[in-house]
Amino acid sequence: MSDAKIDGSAIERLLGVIGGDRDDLLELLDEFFVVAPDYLRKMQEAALSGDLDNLRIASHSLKSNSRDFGAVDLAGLCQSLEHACKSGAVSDAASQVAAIDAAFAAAKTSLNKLVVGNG
Amino acid sequence: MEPALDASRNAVLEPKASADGRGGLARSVQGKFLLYVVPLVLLSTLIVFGLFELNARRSAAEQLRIKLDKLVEIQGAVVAESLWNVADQQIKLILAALESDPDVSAAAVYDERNRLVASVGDLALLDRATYTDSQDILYNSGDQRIKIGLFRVALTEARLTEMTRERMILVTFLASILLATVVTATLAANKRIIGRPLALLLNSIQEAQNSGNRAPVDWSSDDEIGRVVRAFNDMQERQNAYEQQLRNSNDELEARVAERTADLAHAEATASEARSQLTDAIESISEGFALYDRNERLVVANHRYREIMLGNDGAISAGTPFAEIVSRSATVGRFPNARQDPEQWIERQIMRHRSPGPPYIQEMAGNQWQQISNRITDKGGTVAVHSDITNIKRISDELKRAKDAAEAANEAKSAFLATMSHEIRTPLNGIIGMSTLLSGTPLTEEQRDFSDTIATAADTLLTIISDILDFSKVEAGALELERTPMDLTETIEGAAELVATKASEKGIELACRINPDVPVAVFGDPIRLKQILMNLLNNAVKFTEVGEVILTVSTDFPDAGQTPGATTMLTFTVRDTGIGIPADRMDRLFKSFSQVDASTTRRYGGTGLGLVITKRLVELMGGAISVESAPGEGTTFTFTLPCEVAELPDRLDRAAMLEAIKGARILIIDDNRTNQLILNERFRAWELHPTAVGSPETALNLLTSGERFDVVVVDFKMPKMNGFEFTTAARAAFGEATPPMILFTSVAPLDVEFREGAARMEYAATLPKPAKSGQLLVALLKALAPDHQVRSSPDRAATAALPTQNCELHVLLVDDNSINRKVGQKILKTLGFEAVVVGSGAEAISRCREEEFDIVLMDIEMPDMDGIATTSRIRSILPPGRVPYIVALTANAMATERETYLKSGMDDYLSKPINVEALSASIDAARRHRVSQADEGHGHRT
Repeated sequence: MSDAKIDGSAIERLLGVIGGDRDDLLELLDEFFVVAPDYLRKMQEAALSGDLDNLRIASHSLKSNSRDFGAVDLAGLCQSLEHACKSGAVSDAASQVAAIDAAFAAAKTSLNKLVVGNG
Repeated sequence: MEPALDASRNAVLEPKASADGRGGLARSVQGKFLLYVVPLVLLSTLIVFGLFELNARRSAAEQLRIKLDKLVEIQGAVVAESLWNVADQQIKLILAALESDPDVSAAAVYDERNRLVASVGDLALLDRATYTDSQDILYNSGDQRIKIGLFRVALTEARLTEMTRERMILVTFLASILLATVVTATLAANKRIIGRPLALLLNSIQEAQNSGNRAPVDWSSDDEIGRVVRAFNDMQERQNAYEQQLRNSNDELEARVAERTADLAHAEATASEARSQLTDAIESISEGFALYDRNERLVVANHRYREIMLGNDGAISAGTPFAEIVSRSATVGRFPNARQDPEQWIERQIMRHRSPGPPYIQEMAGNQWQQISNRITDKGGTVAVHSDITNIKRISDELKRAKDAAEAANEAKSAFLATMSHEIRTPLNGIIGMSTLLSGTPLTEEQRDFSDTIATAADTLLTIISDILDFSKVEAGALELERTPMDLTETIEGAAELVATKASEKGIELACRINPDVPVAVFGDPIRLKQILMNLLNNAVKFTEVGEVILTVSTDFPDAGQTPGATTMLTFTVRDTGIGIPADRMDRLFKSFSQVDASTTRRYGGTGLGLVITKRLVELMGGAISVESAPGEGTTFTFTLPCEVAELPDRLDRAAMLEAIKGARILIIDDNRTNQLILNERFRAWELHPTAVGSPETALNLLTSGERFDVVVVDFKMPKMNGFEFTTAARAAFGEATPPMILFTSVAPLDVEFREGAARMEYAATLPKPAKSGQLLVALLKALAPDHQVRSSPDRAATAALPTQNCELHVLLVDDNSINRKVGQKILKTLGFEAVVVGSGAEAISRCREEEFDIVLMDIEMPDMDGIATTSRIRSILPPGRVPYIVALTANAMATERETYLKSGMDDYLSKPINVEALSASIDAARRHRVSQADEGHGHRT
């Protein structure tokens, strides 16, 4: 699996705002790795049932989190899905969710390498 | 022209020439003339001589008749006697005598009976001849006359005829002479008058005809011929002139034609040479070159082009269509890209050929690369240039690899730097905090010294690390600017305040002058603006040993004034009286890791990054920074910032405060001229009446002279007499009448001795220099109108010195996302808040029912019930005084949405990821909100 681009400054920023405690950061990251699959599951369900509202909220949340951790590709995909939901014109939601799923997996690998590996 | 002219002349002259040749009498002028003259002469001669002859004949005949009559009469009488006597002999003699007369041809005498008596000559003639006569012979006998006979005579005409013949001969002779004379004279005259000039004319004409030489005819007379000759000569002359002219123009024409021909030949030669040079040039360039006409047919291509398109033995003739060439090169396999889908490739090449874009790169067989650039010529053709960029491409590939590697390394370095900075910062914060706490405990002199050194070193280290962190952010382009309404005065004075301690330690005056026409608030990033100002001020203080550092803020568009939405240009100037910068080192100022020189670094410390970051920040904000300096005199940094004027709620109710102190008379005592000016200006802007003096002695004199003041603003540190001494002296002199006093000091307020002294003096306020406007205003208000209620303290530092103090505010964080909740909680913790955290709108509402919150941080995007709905629900269920300050949190960081949230019931707005400073500003606002609610009597604290 190829590495996802991670914006180091976002992580640095996050570390900054939470007070600079690296353990806190790792804790948040673990939380992210737990929460994100939940959102993905919600998105898959919403995509299947055509529930644009929940699809949008889940995309938004995942976008927000991935941005915190500098997973720019993942955040970008979530954002475009969010915008699509907002405008009401979602084409092939399932495959977009699948792409987001893949991006998350890549981001997880990269984040593990960058943050956990260094730590 | 000439030949035709000659021909026509020949045609005219021809008949005459040939007539001459034939020599007919009627064909020559003389002949014609004679034909007219000779008959006339002959006729007139004939008439003249005819008349003369007629006359001569008549008179001859008359004479003959008369002779005949006399003869008859006389001889009759003679004969009568003889006859009467019948003497016949005698009669015969008489007759014979008569016959001797040559004129008498016959004579006869007849008797009375008509018998012939005698006769002579031929008697027949007597009847036939013209001249005959007869006479009766009468004889006189008494008075009677008797006829006795008849006498007859015939005269001959011979003598008459002879005379006529002689006359005829004479006449003929005479007429001949006359004719000859007339003819000769005529001929002579003719020849002389007409013939000669005509001959001359003819000669001249013939000569002109034969040799083309037009000689004038040498003939002069005043008759018609003369005129003809003159006319002819004139004509000749004109003809000559005309011919000369004709010849001239002909010559000229020929010369011109020759010249043109030469020119043409020359031009042809030049063009041909140019053509061959061009061909040479095209052939000899190393690039492949081809020109196609507007119909995409090849006009010219060099060898290299043919080689590129078709390989070594490729031949293309002019006129070949581009499409054919491309498809041939695809077939030959010159372009690896064409192998997969030749049709498509060819199509693409043709498209590029037809509508050329920027040059493009194409791979060629044999791992060669070329750059192809197509251009449309003025005439609609296309020029294709194929450059071999194999080497460039190789180098660029290598460079790209190197650049990628370098970037990756740099990125890794930045990440490392960022991580390390944080790793360092965390313990550093601990050191700073501890040393601050330590300095607050009783310490020996030595211990205090150690503690101070630790604090200073830690401070420096922190600055350096912040610089490095900022720098790496700026370099990575990761620095994003906020755009919020900021209180300019607060921001600017806040920056100056942070440098004030350092300045006062060095004994440097630090002043801050904001022009009254500068807008109160503008949109911008207050944190970064503060950073810029602090960098410049710190620098100025660092490099200044004696004198002052002055920050001036002015606007280039005073008219924009306070109108929100107007654009203005702010100019910030930081001027110091420090060591200055040599001109040749100016350019290094804004460069990374470079100070003016290495020794500066050793002496003054610092990373040299401050100005680089400052410059980048200013540029990011759309401004420009410049520097002027004279070594030994000081340095002035100036930067401009374009800003939009913003509107800020008058949180301190400044208007009311200013109203309360309006018109007050203020005495300013400061030995520093700049400070005097600044205070003067500020007080005037507040509609007060300031008087500034430079020394306490002057002030005392002024007071002694009876001048009345409502308040005195006095500087602590002055030569001869300090602030305390002045206050003591004034109070001693004027007692109760002494106006209230405000003390300005640059001495660290932590100095125990000073603090005790100030407390003893009972000043209305003690303000650090440079004084912030808000503080100054509050201090004035306190001195002049102690009863006026100040809504809240303008100085956050005074109330929020330590995080633990924030426990007073009750915070609720609402977010459905567990990570956001955790992050938010941690941030709040760093700010000293133990927040209540819930995960949904419904929970938030129930918590708000149960307890009173000062501030709610509300996520907008939540399932089931979103932030806006939750907010409006909270507002509707809570009594007005209990409604918390609700701040929207959202990752939709659009500036326009801010308005939307504010309209839908939010008090403030924060974009995610949360910025600590912005959050803390929001909390401040919430605190003020709570205070004002309390003031209005709505709120009560739980």
